[in-house]
Amino acid sequence: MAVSNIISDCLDALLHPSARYDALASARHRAFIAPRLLGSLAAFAAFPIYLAVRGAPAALEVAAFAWLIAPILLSYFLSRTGRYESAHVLSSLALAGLIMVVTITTGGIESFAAVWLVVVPLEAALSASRRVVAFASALALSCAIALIAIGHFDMLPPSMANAGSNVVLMAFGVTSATLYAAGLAFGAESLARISVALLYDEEDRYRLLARNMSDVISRHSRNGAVQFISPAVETLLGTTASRLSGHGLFDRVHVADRPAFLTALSDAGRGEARSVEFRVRRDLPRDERGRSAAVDFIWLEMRCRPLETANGKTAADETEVVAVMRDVTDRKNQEQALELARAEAGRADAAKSRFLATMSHELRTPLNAIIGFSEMIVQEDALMIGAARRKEYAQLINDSGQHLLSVVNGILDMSKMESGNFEITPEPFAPRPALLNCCNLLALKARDNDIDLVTRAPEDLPQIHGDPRAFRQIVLNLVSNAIKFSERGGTVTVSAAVDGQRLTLRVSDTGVGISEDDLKRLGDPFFQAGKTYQRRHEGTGLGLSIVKSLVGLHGGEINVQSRIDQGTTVTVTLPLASPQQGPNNIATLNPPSPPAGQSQDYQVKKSA
Amino acid sequence: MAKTVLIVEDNELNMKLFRDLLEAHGYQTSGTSNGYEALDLVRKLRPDLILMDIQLPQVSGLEVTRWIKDDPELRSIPVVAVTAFAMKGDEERIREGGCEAYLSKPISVGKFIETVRRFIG
Repeated sequence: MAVSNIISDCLDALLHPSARYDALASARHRAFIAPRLLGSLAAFAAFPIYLAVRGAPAALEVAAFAWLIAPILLSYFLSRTGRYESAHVLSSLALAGLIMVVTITTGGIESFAAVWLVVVPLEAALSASRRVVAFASALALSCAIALIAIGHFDMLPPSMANAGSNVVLMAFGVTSATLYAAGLAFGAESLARISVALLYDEEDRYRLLARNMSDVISRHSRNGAVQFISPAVETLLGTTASRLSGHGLFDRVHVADRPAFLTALSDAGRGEARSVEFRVRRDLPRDERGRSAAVDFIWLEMRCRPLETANGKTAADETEVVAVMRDVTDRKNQEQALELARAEAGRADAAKSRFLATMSHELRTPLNAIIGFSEMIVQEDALMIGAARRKEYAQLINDSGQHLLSVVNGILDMSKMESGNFEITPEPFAPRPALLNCCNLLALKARDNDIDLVTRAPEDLPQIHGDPRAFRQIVLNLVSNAIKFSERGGTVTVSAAVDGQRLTLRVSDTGVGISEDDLKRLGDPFFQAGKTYQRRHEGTGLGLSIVKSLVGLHGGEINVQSRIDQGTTVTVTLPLASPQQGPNNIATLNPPSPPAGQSQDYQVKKSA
Repeated sequence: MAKTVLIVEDNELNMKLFRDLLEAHGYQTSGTSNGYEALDLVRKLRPDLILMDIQLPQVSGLEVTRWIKDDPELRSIPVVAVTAFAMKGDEERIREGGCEAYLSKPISVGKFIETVRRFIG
């Protein structure tokens, strides 16, 4: 074992670098070098014995032995240059040369050595090169023909072998040729075994790759039909690869993405590499009853390019496409989330700008009267303003100042709610008197606008636990809104009722109504439905947003139902019992998520 | 004969301010808080100048200005926007809408009268 290891190591050292890392090439090189070196060395070892038996050698014998150096030179040539085919050609030439010399001097075609010509092409077979085999065969054949021709024209030198030893020599020639051929056959068999083993190794490696790679590799015909798809697709789509072949994959592609999918494949078929992203239906694990769950799509990214055929060119008409697919659902989801966040940020930014613009407008309007009238009083002489006028202007300045104060207070309330500093003080109180009181306050305004204000509150309305100041503000804001947004001759109905453990307050008008788009934004600070420059109604747009926060603070709900030109109904429900203490006690513009089962809280419902 | 100024303004106090100011300077005034009515009044009275608030009920002052400027007979009447829209870009947008001048609220009495005089002396 140790000796063979040493020989093996020596052989490895002899291999040309180009063959060292290619298992098959190194096996071939070894198969070339090993027998030649060993044969030559054995021959040299046998030379002294031969001399001892035969006595002084003839010149021919010396030449024949000297010829045995040739394999060593050939091994050296291969070891240096790595040119396997050339080494085989040289080897064939050397062998054929030796055979020719021996044959010609021992009787031509009838010589014992002539049978060795058969070995020449056999040896070349190990080269695994058709050209080398053809060359060696031609060489052997021409050698045989030359021998026959030489014999025929009687040009042979006198045979050096004596007739008596002919039989022995013939036996030696046939036996040695057979043995060598047998050795070659074993070498060939061993090389074949090695190459099969290597093939298996390679296949194992690819199988390992295919099984453990999350990317899917597929082969498509030009029309997109799947001809092969790697098993990685099974974990991706939850179905077997065989069910995806043909049009099985296409059938799962999202209808909206099918054109892009097919275009990419057909472009790739024309020779252009393409990348496309599309959605594919995935089979989810089935439930107990064997039905699959809801339809689920995942995003795949597919890079496809024309399939190169074995000879390195793409066949012109039968172009196939090879594609690599990868699950990009997570990235897609992130992109979508990012897009949503960006849109949300944009909306928030726009809302902020709108808020500032409206705030500026609402502050400037009363300031205009204040500054204008006071300037007029300053210039009373130039403008010939009398005492009565002066007093009137002072009153107007005061009115405007009061209005300005209410705007500022509204803004302050809003910012308190926004920063979470607005607190309510719950206590038991009777809602009916509070409601009637508010309606009385607004009756004058309703009459001025020629609007019928109807209040429906049952006498037996129970006490509720809440902040009476906040309750009054809710009612005042809602009812004054309803009056403000009603046409002359309209009706505003305020009703209160108890429904289980909740008080329902409903304010309906026959006014302008609110469009669906505006309904969504209703309650945003300063937002008033309609176009910016086309506001038809006074007000800061703060009322409903304050109501929303106050209702949320009481653990109640607010719903707005409206149709353009048909009126609006705002429904507020407040719990009769005390609102929970804790974080709910602080109002914010974005109230915390309502408890489960009350998901409709704060949500503005669209009209039916 | 005194020049006539049509004031389109939906805030009562501001309307009174502009009327009193203009009348104190010898102008005749006429007023409305409604854009549609404003157009009728322009046609009927043919004022020498129009003071236009931008945020109006029902129809915006910009819209009314566009109607006036689209009418060959009314186009020559100068329109001065007097508005509380005083954020960045508001003046450009309003001038592009066809107004000959732009005054932001709160007004300065001096500048207000000066602007009116620039158009109708």
